[in-house]
Amino acid sequence: MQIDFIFKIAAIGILVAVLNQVLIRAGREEQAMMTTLAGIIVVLTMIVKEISTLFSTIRSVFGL
Amino acid sequence: MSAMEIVRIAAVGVVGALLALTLREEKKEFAVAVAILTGLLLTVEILRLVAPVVTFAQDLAGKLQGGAEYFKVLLKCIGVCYICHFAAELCTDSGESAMASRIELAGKATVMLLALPLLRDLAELSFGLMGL
Repeated sequence: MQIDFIFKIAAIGILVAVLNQVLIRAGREEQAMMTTLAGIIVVLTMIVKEISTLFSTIRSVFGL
Repeated sequence: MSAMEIVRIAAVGVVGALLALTLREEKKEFAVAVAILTGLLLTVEILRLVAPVVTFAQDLAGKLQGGAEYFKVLLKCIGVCYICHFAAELCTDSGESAMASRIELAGKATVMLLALPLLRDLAELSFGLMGL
């Protein structure tokens, strides 16, 4: 079980939140939104890989 | 060995819940992502735990006459249910309960479709008994 995945995603989330705050304070709201979007895309690509692992495990266990 | 497994699974669940709680105030999307990933890791681990039980039940069903193929259908239905339940839970967690109920409906339809050959066998058997 890779618990470092959870830590990685939480770290990305905290980083994006901090960057968001800084950019909004600096008055760059578009860039703040772009940062959030980039963070979400990175996290989603990590999750999609895990979802495929889950589905292949289900397939091998239940013989689908 | 499985005692250590359960400690690890519980620890992963608690850590994921705490991280999701921390992120919920700052960024809600990332809290959902952490929750999804924690659920994924836990489900994969549960399936690994349950795999020997499934093979044992398969061996047991293979001893019955015609049991192996019927058991295969049963296993497929359980797999479909797992996938549907997982996806529906994710949708509910993200606040899309309408999508979740659609996914569950699709799962029910798929299970019905998988069970159709069994229903046909049953109907043929009962018709044969009645002499129709």
